[in-house]
Formats: sequence, structure tokens, C-alpha cells
Amino acid sequence: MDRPEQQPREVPSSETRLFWLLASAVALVLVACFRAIFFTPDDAMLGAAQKIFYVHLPVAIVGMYFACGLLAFASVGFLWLRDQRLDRLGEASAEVGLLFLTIVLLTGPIWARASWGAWWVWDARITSTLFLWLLLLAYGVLRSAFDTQEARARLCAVMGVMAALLVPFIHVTVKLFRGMHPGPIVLKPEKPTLPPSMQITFGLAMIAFIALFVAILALRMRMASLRDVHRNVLERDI
Amino acid sequence: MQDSVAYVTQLAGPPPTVKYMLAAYLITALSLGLYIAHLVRAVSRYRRVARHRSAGV
Repeated sequence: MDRPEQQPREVPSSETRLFWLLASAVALVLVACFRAIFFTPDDAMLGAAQKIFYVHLPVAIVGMYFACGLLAFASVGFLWLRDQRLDRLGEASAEVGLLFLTIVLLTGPIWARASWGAWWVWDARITSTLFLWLLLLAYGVLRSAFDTQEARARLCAVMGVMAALLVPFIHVTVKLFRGMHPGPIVLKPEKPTLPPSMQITFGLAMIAFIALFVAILALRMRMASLRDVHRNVLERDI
Repeated sequence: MQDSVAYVTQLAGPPPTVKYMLAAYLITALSLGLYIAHLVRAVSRYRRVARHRSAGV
């Protein structure tokens, strides 16, 4: 018996898949923010400003531990294997980490103003986070300062490892130094000190911002990959 | 001291800090939105160049 002729199925391009991943992550973030603003109780002491926590903390965790962890992994991996894909992963993690830390350093002072009455205090955790932000900014500047790809990738990998080494120090600053910044609420050996409704909102926000980080990182890597192909063609034509 | 402050706060109700919350959420949305728009534009520009090249334009 003859089989009916199969139509070739159209395979979605990687950009289309990335678009859907990004759209889903953005939708998840919107749901988390909507729940935080409208369906999570206000804090008795701080009022509505406490809800900054549902953005500030997940973005800080993702920007600091996920982005800088990936930056360290990609940098060490590149220095060992000299694989250009690892260089692109390092570049993307540093840039997306810089974006997330920018949000942390902008939302933190708003929390501080509502909570402590001051926009900025030179607390150990806040200051060391600012140093990490400056190092990631310097990483981006360093990338644009070299013409040859090999030298750029090698030196940026070293810089990436240096920047990521600051993260464990930032983690322990609240224990090592007495300051204004609150201590660990979620990332600590004991159970988190949050009521259940706040824990659910925080968990949802955490998942949403991890998904957004993955989607933005994938899009940034795709951009770097297309740019490198474009550069190689230009160099070949010259 | 801390307990009495908390008690007075509870009697008076939480302070009006909605504007701080809204400012923080707005800044987050703006930062993420602008960066995503920049990325999408850059990817589509490189894609367009690659398509023109493969078409021999």
C-alpha cells in the first residue's frame, strides 16, 4: 500500500524559538509581579515598599550567583579549552549579570530610602556589590579595547575569573561586618523566615527571573554568534 | 524598644510607601524592556545582513 506523501514540516528558526522562550519568561515575570503587588499582604512595619523584596532579591541572586557563576565557569573553561563558544558564554553572562546588578543597585536605594531614611549607606555588602558592578562594567569595556579576538578572549577570561571571585566575599559580608543591610532571609541553613504567602510569591518570582535570565542569555549568545559570523565575513572580504 | 516601635506601627497601620514600590517595579520593567529591545534589534539587524548576503545583494 502506498503511503501518503509526507509534507516537509517547517522547522522553526532558532530566533523563533528564542522569541517564544523570551515571551514565556516575560509573561511569567509579569504574573509574579502581579501576584506580588495585588495578592501578597503588605508588611506591617514597612508597608508596600517591602514588596521591592520580590524583585530585588531574586534579581540579586540570579545576577550574582547565576551570572557570575556562569562567567567563572566560561572563563576557566575558555582558558583551558580555547573554545570560542565559551568566550561568547562569558561575554553574555557578564553583560546580563551587569544588567541584573544594575537593577539591584537601583531598587536597593529605593528600599533603603523607605526603610532606613537614606538612599545610600556605605555598608560592606552594598559597597562590595557596587565593586562587582564596576568590575563587570570594566569587563565590557575591556572587550571593546582589543582588535584581535584571541587576546580579547584570553584577557577577558582572566578578568571574568577575578570578578567572580568577589561573589563569595559579598555573600559573607553580612556575617563578617556589622552593617545596615539585612542578613540572609532565604539563603541560610535554617528555614526561611517568611510567612507562607510571601514564600510562595518569592518562589514564583525566583522561578520567573531565572527563566528570564536563561531567555535573555540565550538571545545574547545568539546575537554574539551572528555578530562573529558577520565579522568573519567582513575580515575575509577585506 | 524594638517591640514598642512595632506595636505603635501596627496601631498606626503601615506607612504609605506605595510610591517607593511602584518606582522600583517601574525601574525594573524599564531596564529589562530597554535591554531586551536592544537585543532583539541587534539580532534582527545581523539576521537581515546575513539574509542579504546569502541572497547575493
